[in-house]
Amino acid sequence: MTATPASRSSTDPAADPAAAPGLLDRLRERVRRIEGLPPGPGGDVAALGLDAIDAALPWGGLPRGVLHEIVALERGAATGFVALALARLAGDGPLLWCLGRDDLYAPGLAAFGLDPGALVLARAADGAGVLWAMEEGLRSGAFAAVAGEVGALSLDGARRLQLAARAGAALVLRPASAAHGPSPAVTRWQVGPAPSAPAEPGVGAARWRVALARCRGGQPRDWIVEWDDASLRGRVVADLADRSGAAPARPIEA
Amino acid sequence: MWLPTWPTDRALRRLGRSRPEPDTPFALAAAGAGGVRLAAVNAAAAAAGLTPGMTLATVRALHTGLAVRPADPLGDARALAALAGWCRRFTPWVAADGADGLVLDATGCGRLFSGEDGLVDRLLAGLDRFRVAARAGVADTPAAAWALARFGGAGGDRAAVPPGAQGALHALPVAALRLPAATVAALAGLGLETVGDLAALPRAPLVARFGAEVARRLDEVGGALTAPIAAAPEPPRWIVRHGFAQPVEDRAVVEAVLARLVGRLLGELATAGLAARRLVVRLAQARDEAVRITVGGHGPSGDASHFTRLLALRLERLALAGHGVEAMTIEAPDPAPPAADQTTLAMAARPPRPPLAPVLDRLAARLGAGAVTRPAPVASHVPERAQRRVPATAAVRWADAVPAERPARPARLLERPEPVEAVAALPDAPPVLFRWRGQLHRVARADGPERIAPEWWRGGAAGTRDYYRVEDRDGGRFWLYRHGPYGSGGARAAWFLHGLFA
Repeated sequence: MTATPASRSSTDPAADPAAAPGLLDRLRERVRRIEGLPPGPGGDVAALGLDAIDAALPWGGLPRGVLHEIVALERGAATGFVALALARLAGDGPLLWCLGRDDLYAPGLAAFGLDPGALVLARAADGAGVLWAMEEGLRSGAFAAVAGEVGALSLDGARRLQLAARAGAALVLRPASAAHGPSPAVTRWQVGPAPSAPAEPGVGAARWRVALARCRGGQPRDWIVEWDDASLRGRVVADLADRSGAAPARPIEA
Repeated sequence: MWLPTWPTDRALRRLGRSRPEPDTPFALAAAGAGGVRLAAVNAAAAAAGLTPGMTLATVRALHTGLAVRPADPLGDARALAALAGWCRRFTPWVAADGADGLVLDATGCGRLFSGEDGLVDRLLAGLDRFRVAARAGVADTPAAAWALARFGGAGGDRAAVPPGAQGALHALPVAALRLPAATVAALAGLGLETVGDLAALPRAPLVARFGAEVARRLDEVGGALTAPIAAAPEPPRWIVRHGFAQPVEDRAVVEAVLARLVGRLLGELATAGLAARRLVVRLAQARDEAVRITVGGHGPSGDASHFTRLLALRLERLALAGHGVEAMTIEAPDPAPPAADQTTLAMAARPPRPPLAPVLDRLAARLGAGAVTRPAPVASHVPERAQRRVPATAAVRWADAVPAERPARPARLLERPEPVEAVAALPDAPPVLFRWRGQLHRVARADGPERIAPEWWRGGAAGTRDYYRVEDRDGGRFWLYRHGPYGSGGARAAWFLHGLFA
């Protein structure tokens, strides 16, 4: 797409891509944004640092500026995954976490590489308040990413978030009971716990079963992820089957 | 107006509810020549024989019950100036006088308070409410009032001389002339002990011997010279007002007029080089008390549309039907120069992120000021006290707050530990199964116990908890504790679930 014939003889500089390098790429990016699509390759993406998962995502990580949905099969494990994703999306920017019940424990979140000092918490009385706070936070453009814990999320509400998520990524954390139906989210994840496999007696490093249930331009997949508190790094310990069929794990073409 | 124990009064006031009993000796100390010395003492400490200037080590040896806090002379001076501002309700001519006094020119103001006595009554009552000890001197000149407040009369909360009766001042000691201590001592050495003794002497030799200051002070007290009161100018009030011809119930009209007023106020502030931190709106409603709305608070802003949006968020919850608005004022109580945009090197690479303050203001306007917070670390090993919520504008540093060598902490901590039915094989063993919110969890792995006792000053061993990190067969990880020390509950120990691990 960047091959520009040098022999072209146009007098209008705007029509000559060579006069404005990257113009075409920028226009494509703009069209994607307008359509609510994630950025193309090389767009604004935050790698999760989990190799197999990043490789399975068409963008090489979680794209910023769009809506992601995380379904909590269990609240604790999902909180860890959200903290991990927020930490990667934050860069060095501030974060907003909107919730109805403020039971976040910052000393525990710090174990996922999330700097609690970058975190602003907004507590709302009901789900509508949480959605409003998320939208307000996203529209302001002041936050690198905005997470919100909602029960039910209407298609309309999700679209509003998707539209508002221009400057920062939006993460919606929902309980499993309320999450079905269509959604404009670019990715939908299901996160639950998995038994740890310690070498010694006792509880081992945290393990989650992370499923990419839906992904625009990608395939549904399942992994077991292990998080190491000490090194602040996660790794994929098992690449489970492609959920769409019975075929064994195979590389996904982006 | 003499405030004999101003520094200690202020320090005790700042301690709030944790202040010691009123008759406990209390002192402020600061580093001085040859060690830490007392800078100020309260009445109880003075009665116990403590005076400013004593070294703290000496005092500690003499009195064990003394409560000591660091002295803050600069803060005292600032607070005294603020107190002078408060006194402006009595007379426009008010100034802080020295480090422990206020001087008020009440000329002509007494009739507003049924006499000068009434004014002094109100002033003393006000200071008493602030728990500030005070003694008033009322006289024709500031210097005489200064002398009376400190040295005049036989006690009580005030000393006054009627106008023209300067003779009454002659009984005061020489120290009442506010002369340097060395001069007072030298005069005493000559047997000159009262103002009257000095006043009776011929001036010329007095000036030749002790300098012009003695004569000047005598004249100031006597009224021949007046020292001007250097009253600080009243800070300007940034306020705009609009009155309606008749009560207005239409929200759109109210909002439109508010928007215009906000624009005018911010425009006036801008010409003074200022921006508003907060706006206080008062709506006078028909047959109702005025409604007061405060918005902002997260940073100075000169953006009228920002404040208009904040006000709209608050107005939409206000009932206007039947409560028409008759008049409204908008005040900027604490304007400040607008914040410069902070662009760090790291941010310069990307398009700059807009500042946080406006969005924090909007969130707080709808959700409530207490609902927009940051987690902040607290140095406590008790889990629920290791973090607290601070206003979102506060800068919070977590980098060194979480020690690396510590047992794991959960990602969610329940606001209240929830009781669970748990079965443990032994009294000091982790549970093998427990039921939480109606669901049964079989424990596959467990770590612990980690014994956490409450801070000793908050209660004894009764609150000791033994925490276990357990993993159920599905991999769900929970933070459970057994309440009370081992053996206290026997086999029927009480178990609680306190947190969820990720």
